[in-house]
Amino acid sequence: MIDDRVSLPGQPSGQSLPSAQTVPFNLPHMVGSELAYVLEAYRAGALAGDGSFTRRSQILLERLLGAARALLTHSCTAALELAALALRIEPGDEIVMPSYTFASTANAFALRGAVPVFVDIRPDTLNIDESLIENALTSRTRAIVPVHYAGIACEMDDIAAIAGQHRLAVVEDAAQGMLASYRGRALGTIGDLGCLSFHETKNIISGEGGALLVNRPELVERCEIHREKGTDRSRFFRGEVDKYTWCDLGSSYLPGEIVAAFLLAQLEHAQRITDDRLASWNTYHDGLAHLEARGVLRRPTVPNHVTHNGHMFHVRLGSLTERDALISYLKRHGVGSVFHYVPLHSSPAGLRFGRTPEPMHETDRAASTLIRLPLWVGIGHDAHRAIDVVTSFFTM
Amino acid sequence: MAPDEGTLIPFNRPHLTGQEIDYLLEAHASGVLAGDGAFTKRCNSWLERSTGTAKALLTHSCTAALEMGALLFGIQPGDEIIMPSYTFVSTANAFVLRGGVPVFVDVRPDTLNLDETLLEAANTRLQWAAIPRNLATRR
Repeated sequence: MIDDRVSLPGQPSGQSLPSAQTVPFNLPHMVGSELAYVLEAYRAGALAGDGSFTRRSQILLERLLGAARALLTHSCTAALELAALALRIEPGDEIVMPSYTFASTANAFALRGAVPVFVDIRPDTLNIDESLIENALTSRTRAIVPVHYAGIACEMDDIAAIAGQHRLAVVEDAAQGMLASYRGRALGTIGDLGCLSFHETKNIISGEGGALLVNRPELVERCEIHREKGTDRSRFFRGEVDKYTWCDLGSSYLPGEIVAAFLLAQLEHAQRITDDRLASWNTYHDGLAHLEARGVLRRPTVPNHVTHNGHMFHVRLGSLTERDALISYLKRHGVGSVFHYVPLHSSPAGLRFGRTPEPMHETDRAASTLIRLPLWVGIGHDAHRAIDVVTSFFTM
Repeated sequence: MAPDEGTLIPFNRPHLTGQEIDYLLEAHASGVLAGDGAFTKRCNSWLERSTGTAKALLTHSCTAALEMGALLFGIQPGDEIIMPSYTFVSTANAFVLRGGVPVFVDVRPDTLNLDETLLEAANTRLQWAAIPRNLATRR
């Protein structure tokens, strides 16, 4: 679907665009202290999961986000699977979610035999359209999974109200939502459970990595058990039982200490990284305003009550043809850009495992017209270059 | 001679070759940190060469590898899987996650591995696969 490291030589054809090197679509940011921590874990010789770096990362995450309990996982996929186990999702249960998301949102529940029920997105934020959720509910519905696209929050008050009225769980897929918030509350801490990603394409990274935020105290022990291969190992280490044993379903969802050490270094710089990305995001937003005013493209929408995290800057064009033309044009001029999700509702597995009660016009439109522009820590002047190339595409 | 009082021989001490940090540095410097990059490919190749397996795929744990095995064989609710009970929980969990039923069989007194002479008796109507367990493989 995507090669995040496109590196073709820029070949501006005579225009006044700066040429030189390609602006990569993504460049993982290193804060500098990762290796020192990795070395410390290495020297300590404690390399399996749930050592001191995992504990420190979890405590820092809890503090940064105001989360009741954070549990590191080896991916956001794992956090979602852990959520499905903790909620005791059964075969035939229905889970309401957007189709405009990554496969793991659906897979985590399909693995438990549940049916993803796909709902269309809002045309402004590209998040699940909360006004369509109630129509998708049946007697089998167990949970709603809002996905905070591009780190811009879903309408969580409306979603919580629907969930409360129908006794449904809410699992936030906050893979892109690290340090973003909704009415002052960090994404991932609002639903019953929240899932974060630290994949190298995210703001805060550990290569592969993730976390489950457990916002309901009564779910903590259950989550610990599922995460530790279904054993009561956490209780054993707290001295609550004298040996640990197989208690329930579970998997190995914890990362090793090398990964946790890397993550801790990144978490210690999380706000600076976010601020840097927000500044570049604003550069794009300002620099492309004139094109939105001309009606040739649409920039992201950030509702007033939402604080985002500069995870992604995208623009939407009039058609698939125009979108693909711009991607090729950007590539020719040395700017890496990519489209995004192939919707799940019409994918082979989506057709096999899911259900789509209503038309998905906005999802299909976003999938065919959206481009993500390069955005990474330290992009600096290259953001202006990307803006210039986009501008020149529309003034050819 | 009895060991000194107070000196504890650690039960386990992970062995480090010294080369690990150089490779970690190399991965860090290359900026490629997500999975399936150059180091993953090299590990897969090494495993294929040294074990003679047709294809090796790194996973983040043996638990994950067992779960992939259960998915690959299309284990369905009610399928029975013969395995030893004298094992780590992941051997069973991987299949129970797919709705499978672990059928526990006793071990041999000598190797402490699954007693192969008991397999026939345990072969029930829905049995899918027998999993031998190599005790040298630790998780």
